[in-house]
Amino acid sequence: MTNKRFSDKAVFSLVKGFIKKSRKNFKFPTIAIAIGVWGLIVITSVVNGFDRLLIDSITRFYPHITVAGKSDLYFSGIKEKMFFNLDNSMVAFNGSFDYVQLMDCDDVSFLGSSIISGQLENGAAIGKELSEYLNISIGDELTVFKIKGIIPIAKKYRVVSLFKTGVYIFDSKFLVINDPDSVKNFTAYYFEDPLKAGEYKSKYFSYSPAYTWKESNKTLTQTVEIDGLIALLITVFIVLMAGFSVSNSITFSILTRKKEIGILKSLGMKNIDIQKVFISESLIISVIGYLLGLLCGTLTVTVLDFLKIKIPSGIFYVDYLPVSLNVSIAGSSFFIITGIVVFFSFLTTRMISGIDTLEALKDE
Amino acid sequence: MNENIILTAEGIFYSYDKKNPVLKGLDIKVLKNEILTLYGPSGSGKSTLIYILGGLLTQDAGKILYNIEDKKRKIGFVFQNYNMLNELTVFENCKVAQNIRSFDDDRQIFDYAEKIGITDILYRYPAELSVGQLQRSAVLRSISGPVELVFCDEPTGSLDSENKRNVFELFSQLKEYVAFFVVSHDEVSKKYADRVLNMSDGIIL
Repeated sequence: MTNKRFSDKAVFSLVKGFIKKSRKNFKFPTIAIAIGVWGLIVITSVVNGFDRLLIDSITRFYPHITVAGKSDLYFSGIKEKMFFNLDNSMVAFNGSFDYVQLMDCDDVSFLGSSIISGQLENGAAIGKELSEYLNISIGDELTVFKIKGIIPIAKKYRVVSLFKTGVYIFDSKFLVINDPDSVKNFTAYYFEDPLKAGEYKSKYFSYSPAYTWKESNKTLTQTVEIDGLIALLITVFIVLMAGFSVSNSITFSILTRKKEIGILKSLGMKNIDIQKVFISESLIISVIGYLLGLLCGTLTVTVLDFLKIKIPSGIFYVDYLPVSLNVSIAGSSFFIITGIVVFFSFLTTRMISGIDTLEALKDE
Repeated sequence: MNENIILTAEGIFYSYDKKNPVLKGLDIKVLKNEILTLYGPSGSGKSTLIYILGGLLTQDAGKILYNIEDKKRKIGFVFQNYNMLNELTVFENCKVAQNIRSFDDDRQIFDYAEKIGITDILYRYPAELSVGQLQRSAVLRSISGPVELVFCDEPTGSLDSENKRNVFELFSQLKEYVAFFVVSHDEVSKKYADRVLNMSDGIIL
């Protein structure tokens, strides 16, 4: 057996013995890490929930790629394709009016999952917020004013359905019609995976004027990016907190276990091997703390998802608290936390080499 | 250095407060295969001497030469206050000492434990032991592994005469491979010693 294997065996025996007999010393830092990871998972899941819901809401309604002109291109990954126009218009009903985006499509089936009342048939589908603003119901007739050149053209449409995407701007400013007489100037693509829109654009539409749903909804997608940054910041702070917590507990542990350090030094144990004992202990603390936090966090997220806690609908674009476990953050935080813990442990345990053996042996 | 000598110290001075020296230019040699017993009144510097010779304390002046390879791991100690690792059983304490000394042999621990009568407490924790059991456990740990020189500070002070004899019997059996430097007031240790030195006021008489 090599010297290293012997010393690793000694380190293992010491760590096992210390953990078995000094559980109370490990409780606080383990709980601190568990709470940190628990908080991290819940907060990032809520942020992720809002983001995913926002992305789902946008991509359920808005074309994933809008191409100027009529495109005949087909490739695998396309879910739906339609031709449409998007014009600024004014809509009026019973003396009330509002400016809207008039989406004139040859096929309105993309609205299917957003319809909350009425049916998809010839007529106008109106956003729920807009219908409330105009005080209009299914069966009512509204007037749409389009500008062609300098002449406004008025046309009446019967409201056949109400839709709710969850995105306020769509629900309050969009009117969807199917006018068979109009010429459509754009092609809308909907994909199986909307997140691949950028990839498809550079692959299939690099030579045509095309916009992805992200480019067309920059304000909304920037919200997602900011949320991502917030989640990253939270992760960084929680990870640092965990690192400092473990570093603090190691310092405390070293100071309270000076005598043990003295004994090990008197037995001839190298400083680096004594450091390994403390680093291994902190690594075990961080792994147990992480797993506990992961368990509590996942349980909390599951319960929140099940309860669908109500939140003020006027403030957010959703009336319940959306949660979605952010697996990548939960997974990467494990490596970051253990890495930081080992780093801080290494820094802290360097003080062991400065401990005088005889002084330490006198410590009580 | 003479092959029969394991340690030579010359002109060792040491003072805790840099004013009143505890050791005053002390010279000493420890031979291989011997039990060397050091006598002396309390405060004469016996413990300080073994800490310095064992490398736990650095002398203010003087020279120490060892005839031991990897001396840090080949020197054992029996401290007056035993200094057992409380989180480990007696067996684990010995096992860790063995592993630190790059050695791994359970039989050695069982064999020595039997000779000093502590086989029944090997799997107990130090907190569960009597003072006499602790002292013998500390002796057992000090000789676990391939040690070549063991410093013992009152290793049998809390033992009855039979157990004292058992400990020194074991030292006698091991001295073929291990030199023992014993600080003791016991007559028994004198009986088993190959050499007896007296120390007074920081010098060997």
